Amino acid sequence: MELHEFKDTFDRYYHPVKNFLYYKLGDVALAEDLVQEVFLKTWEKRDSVRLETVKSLLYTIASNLANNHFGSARARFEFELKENIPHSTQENPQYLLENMEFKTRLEKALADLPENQRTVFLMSRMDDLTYTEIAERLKISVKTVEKRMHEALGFLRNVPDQKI
Amino acid sequence: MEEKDNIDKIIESASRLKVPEGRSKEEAWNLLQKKIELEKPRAKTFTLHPYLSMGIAAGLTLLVVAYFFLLPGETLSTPRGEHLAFTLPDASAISLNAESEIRYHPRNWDKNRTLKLKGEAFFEVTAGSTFIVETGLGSIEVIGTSFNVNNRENSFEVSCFSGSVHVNDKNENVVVLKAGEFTQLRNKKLSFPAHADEKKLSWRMGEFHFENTPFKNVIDELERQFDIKIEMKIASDRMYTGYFNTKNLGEALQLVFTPMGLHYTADGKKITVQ
Repeated sequence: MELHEFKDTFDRYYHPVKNFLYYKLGDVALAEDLVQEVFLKTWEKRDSVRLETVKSLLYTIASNLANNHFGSARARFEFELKENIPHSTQENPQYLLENMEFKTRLEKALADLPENQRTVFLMSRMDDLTYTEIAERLKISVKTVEKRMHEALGFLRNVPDQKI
Repeated sequence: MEEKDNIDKIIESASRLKVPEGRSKEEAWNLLQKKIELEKPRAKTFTLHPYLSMGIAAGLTLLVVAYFFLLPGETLSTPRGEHLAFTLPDASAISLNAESEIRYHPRNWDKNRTLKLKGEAFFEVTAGSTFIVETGLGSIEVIGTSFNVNNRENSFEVSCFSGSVHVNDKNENVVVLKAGEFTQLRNKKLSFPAHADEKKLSWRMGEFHFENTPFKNVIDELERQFDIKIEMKIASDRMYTGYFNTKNLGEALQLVFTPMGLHYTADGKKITVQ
């Protein structure tokens, strides 16, 4: 793998891999440190890395690194709102308030969700990855992705409807 | 129903969120680039064809096996005109005369003190397990002692200077030598122990003494010590008693040939005798 190929790989997979680490760990700083390590390790292996398989290599390294950090800190999810919220709705205070409320409830619920369900759920909902793509990256079957999505939705449905 | 609405909104809102950013992608790339540049230059690695690497592994295994079981081990040899003194792993000392050779296994030397000798050598053996010198005409077994072995063509002579040695010929005959005793193979039999002349050791100082020695053996020794070629125009089956040393070729030639009434001409390394 040449440097320019490595740069292309970085451009394509930096955010997905960083997000994946964040979904697993719930710690942005840690996820950003680990994603550096993921790409550094990939570069060190460049002589044996093939472009067709680099994606699955990135996720494998990321997954192994994340596994070393489980339990080190409680996952805390504090997402940001995407900026491209339509103007009309942005000016609607009612909508904004609701949005904030849902965001907080989602963040709390996610922290309690089992890690493997959370990762699959967020890869699907936030990164817009298809079940096939998720299965490929996590080296699990599409059936397993479906099962985890189903479990995650079930878990979120049972989240008590509490006021903030 | 309202609760289900809420959860669907929660789930739907997930797609409107994004992962927070501590550092931008560009910052992340710059950081990564710095780390890459810091990376130490490393040895190039090659990916081998699986069968090739298996073959190499098999070959290496064979070599290791061969090294321990088949190969003759370490060989030390001297060319004509050179002597060599060296020490074995157990601190036993060997002086090797010119055009001689020793083979031994340094790896398991402490377990098996056996070596092969061609030519002439003097041994000072450190006390320990049985020390065996094998030659083409017989072998010598000792525990700890010093002795000289001369095995040239058809001659096999052993002189013992301290301790005692067991000398075996190829026919399982054994002669035990005590300090100061000498035996040699004569008519395919080992002679009765006789007095070992200290002069048998003087080759180590570059001095060669002969007593009633076939003249051909003396010529051979001259060729060996000076790395020269001596051409005899006349056959001589006489015996020689005398001495030469390796300090000076002209002097040595005089000491050998003049008493025998022979004339020689030297042309570099080629000596012609008539």
